[in-house]
Amino acid sequence: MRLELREVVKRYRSGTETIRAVDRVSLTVAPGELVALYGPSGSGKTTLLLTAGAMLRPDSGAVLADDRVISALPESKAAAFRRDNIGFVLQSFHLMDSATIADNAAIKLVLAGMPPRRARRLVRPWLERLGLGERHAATPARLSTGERQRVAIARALANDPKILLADEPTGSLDADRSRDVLRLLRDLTRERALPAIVVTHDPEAAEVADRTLVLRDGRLTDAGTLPRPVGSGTGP
Amino acid sequence: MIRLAGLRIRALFGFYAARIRQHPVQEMLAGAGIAVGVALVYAVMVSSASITGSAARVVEGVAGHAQLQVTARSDQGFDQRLAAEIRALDGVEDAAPLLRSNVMLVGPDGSRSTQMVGVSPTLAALGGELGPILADGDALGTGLAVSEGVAESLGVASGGSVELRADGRARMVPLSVLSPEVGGALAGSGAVVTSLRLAQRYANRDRRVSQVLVQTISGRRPAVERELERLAGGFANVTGVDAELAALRQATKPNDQSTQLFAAIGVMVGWLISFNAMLFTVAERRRFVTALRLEGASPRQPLTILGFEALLLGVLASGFGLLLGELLVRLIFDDVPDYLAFAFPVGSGRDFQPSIVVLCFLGGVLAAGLDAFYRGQAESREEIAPRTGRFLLWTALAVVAATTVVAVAVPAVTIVGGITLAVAAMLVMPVAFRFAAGWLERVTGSTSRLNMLSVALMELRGPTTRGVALTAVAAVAVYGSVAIGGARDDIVRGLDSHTRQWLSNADLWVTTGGQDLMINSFTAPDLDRLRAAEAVAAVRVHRGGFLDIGDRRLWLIGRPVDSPTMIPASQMLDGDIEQATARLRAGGWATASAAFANERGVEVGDRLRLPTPTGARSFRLAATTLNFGWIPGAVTINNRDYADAVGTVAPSALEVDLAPGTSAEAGRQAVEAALGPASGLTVQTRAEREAQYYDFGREGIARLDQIAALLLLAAALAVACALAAAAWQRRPRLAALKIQGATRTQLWRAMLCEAGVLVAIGCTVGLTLGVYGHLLAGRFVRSATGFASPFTLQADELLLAGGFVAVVALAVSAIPGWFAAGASARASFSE
Ligand SMILES: Nc1ncnc2c1ncn2[C@@H]1O[C@H](COP(=O)(O)OP(=O)(O)O)[C@@H](O)[C@H]1O
Ligand SMILES: [Mg+2]
Repeated sequence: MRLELREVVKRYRSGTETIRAVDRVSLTVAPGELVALYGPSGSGKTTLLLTAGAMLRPDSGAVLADDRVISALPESKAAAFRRDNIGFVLQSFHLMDSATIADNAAIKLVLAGMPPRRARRLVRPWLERLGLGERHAATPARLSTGERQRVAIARALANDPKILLADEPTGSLDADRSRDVLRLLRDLTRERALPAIVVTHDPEAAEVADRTLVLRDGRLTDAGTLPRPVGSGTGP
Repeated sequence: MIRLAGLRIRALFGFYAARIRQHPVQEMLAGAGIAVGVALVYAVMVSSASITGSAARVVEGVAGHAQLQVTARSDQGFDQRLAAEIRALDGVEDAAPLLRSNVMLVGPDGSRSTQMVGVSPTLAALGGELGPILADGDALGTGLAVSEGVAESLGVASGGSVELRADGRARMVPLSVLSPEVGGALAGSGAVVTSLRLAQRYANRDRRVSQVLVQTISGRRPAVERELERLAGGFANVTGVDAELAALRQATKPNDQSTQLFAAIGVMVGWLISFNAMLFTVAERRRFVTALRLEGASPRQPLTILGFEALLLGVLASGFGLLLGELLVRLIFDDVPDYLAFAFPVGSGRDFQPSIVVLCFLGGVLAAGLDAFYRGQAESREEIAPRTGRFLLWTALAVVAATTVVAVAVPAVTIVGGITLAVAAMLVMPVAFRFAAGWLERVTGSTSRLNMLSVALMELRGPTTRGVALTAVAAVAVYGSVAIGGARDDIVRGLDSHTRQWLSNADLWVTTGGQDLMINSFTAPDLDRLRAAEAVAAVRVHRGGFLDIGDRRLWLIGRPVDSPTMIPASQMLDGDIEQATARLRAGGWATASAAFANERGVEVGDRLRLPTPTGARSFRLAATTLNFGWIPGAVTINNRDYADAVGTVAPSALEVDLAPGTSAEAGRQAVEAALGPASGLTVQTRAEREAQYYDFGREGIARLDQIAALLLLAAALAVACALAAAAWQRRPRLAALKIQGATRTQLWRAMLCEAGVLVAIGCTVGLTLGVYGHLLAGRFVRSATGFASPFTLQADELLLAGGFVAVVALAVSAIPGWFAAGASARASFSE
């Protein structure tokens, strides 16, 4: 699948003020291509990702997946599209506290109508691959932040997504884990020919990425050069 | 400047204000829970204290400084010359005769049964509140003096006249209205006052009185008491003036106890509600404390802040609870129970007891403190470990077992059992949770049709303190209402079946009217004329009255020898009914309530001595019975023995059989015609009298219904609020699920499923323990009241209690749930 953003504008109105969180961004991510997106905190990275993932509707412009416009779908269609096609790794993971790791990872499959037992079976390989196989029956409360992040990644990948969007997926991992996760994302992207956007502050990401972009005040600035990481990188 | 742990009070208030701004709903819910508990306890305590309190005021208002009294053993009274003899006794300062008779007043706007008190001027010397009335000589000399309330309900103005029915005769008498200052406590009781002479005329008790109040010279009381015994002990009771209050307490005790049990369960529900609300902010408070510590607060400072918050919450909530309780008392609990009014001088007056206010207030503050303590202790979202759950289950089973053993061995402590069972309901919750969720998961594990239930179950599998507390609210409320409601229904059914049997003896009943046990005697009308009426097949004379023995105001029944049944079968305990019936008819035999017989150490065949107006009489016990619906107990003899013992042939009811083919209505008209227009008697068909008894039987326990309904409503709303708060707090996670592709409807359905499962678990546990509680409470009620109330399970009532909580909780929480499910993606970025 190919992901394309055309002149996407997303504004936020708070009170009398209007913020252009994403300002006329055009971007095409080819199947199998991993784009690393840098940018200071508040520059609009998360907004861009949510818009690309059919979660937010752009004020103008369009988002296309394989030439199909997904930015204008009615909410229920958009939800189904996200559920079936997008792997979204969230900045704050928001796992279900009382549910097991397997359940957390399987949630999208269950939402899509798969019997829970089968869904749990299907996500096992993912958990193994992320080093969580042993702990599939534990609850997130018992996990370290890094482990929780990996559960969030497993959840994103469980539905065999066609598009991968990750918001600081290595934000709370140590260097080793971080490298592992980035490699994993890169391998997946290649293996399954997915377009992927990974928002990050990690300089390492530039090494695995096919392309590096920087967002400033909602605008995409020239690609290629890797700036020094700015800010603490945890967003608002 | 005042400081606590180095913190200014103003700063502490500031912290609390910030907290309320941050979590207004949770704070309100926490406060509301405490307030509900405080209100229920306050209302129950005040209203039961008010019954005895108002009676005490009436007794005091009449008796003044008198310490002793001589009271008649029947409503025929005794010769008034006794008063003069008593006054002449050595050591007696003063003595005043009274005549008290149950009468009925009929005015254009309504009628009421009440007590007429005839007083003599000597009463003023005793210094009771009645003094001023007596000083106002005209009021009493000319007719009845009544309170404004009574006059209003009758629709008669001062100076007008009212129909007075007494001793089976009706007459018009002038009426004057007492000003509230003069009426005092007596006015509150609804009693009417007149001069002794007029009372004797109206009640047809020429030269007779029913009571002599005696004031002794200080230090001479024992000697005077002996003298009074010698003078009057053969035909009247010599007691302290407060003997009547002891009898009233004896009669109301079982009712008070069950009401208290219910209130206690109400308190638990209230506390659980506030505990629930508090749990929502545990994590946030924990972070707050950590942050304070990091910023260099001393270890005591965060505790001081939390403690202060609890204190403020407790104070505000308790204050509000007291207001709410006062409202409850005024709106719902304020009716004077008629079922006591004909037997005791109870009034509608209120008793302000500071001790109750203080107790309720402190209780509320303590509850808030308990919350705060927990807030500093545990993590509410943490799963309760299976081992802990199993331990709690075993504890619960041990509690149930211990409760059973104790309740069976000592029924009197069943009240405590009612509370321990509620605790057990909470303790079994974690295992019930795990079991229910596990079972549902197996059922839904391989189907794709119940997806949203599956999603809900994922969240529910591990029981958390929060989830358990939430279901416990539903469980304890349902438990309480099923247990007490069931016991209550048993009583009502028992009373109803007794009533049917009791009244099945005759087609028509002729009485003095009003709600009574047929204990008001009247001069018999011309019975031959009545028997001669074409519609009438038979007329039997029923006699009855009260007899005070110890603290018991016994109901003495003189059943007609020619009555088809002598003892209602449903009331029989020990003894053979056929033999007992034959013996009662033959005379010299009696049946007695088991509780009374036990107290006296009398068994079937033994001799039972009764103090009667004609001296002590002894009867042989033919059978023991239940108490005929009258808590203090009943003794049945035949009507001839009754006439002998009480010294009067006056009936207190006539049983009329109608000629075959005569309708009840036609029969009534015929009997009314035969009685003549001047008759003050009321003729009722069996159905009418039954209906009247049904109301009467229910009235005594009406308060239980009211509390049950309030409890269920409070619990349902609290569960709904807790569910709503949980949904609202979960917005970030809902938003995250949305990003994963869940639709709003899916999220909403998942939340409804989750709520449904939670409430279902709570209601099921509540129902199960409720039925068991009903079993134990039923046993207790039977032994405490002596009513015939066989255990009956009513499936519809169970479903109603459980269903009500479930439906209200789900319906009310569905709305905020829908809004929470609409959370925008943005919400997933804030915690
Ligand atoms: N719901 C909103 N309402 C108003 N302003 C918003 C909203 N969401 C984000 N913003 C603003 O839009 C800008 C971009 O935010 P975001 O996409 O979260 O940036 P980043 O992920 O790069 O930190 C920020 O200035 C932020 O304050
Ligand atoms: Mg961000």
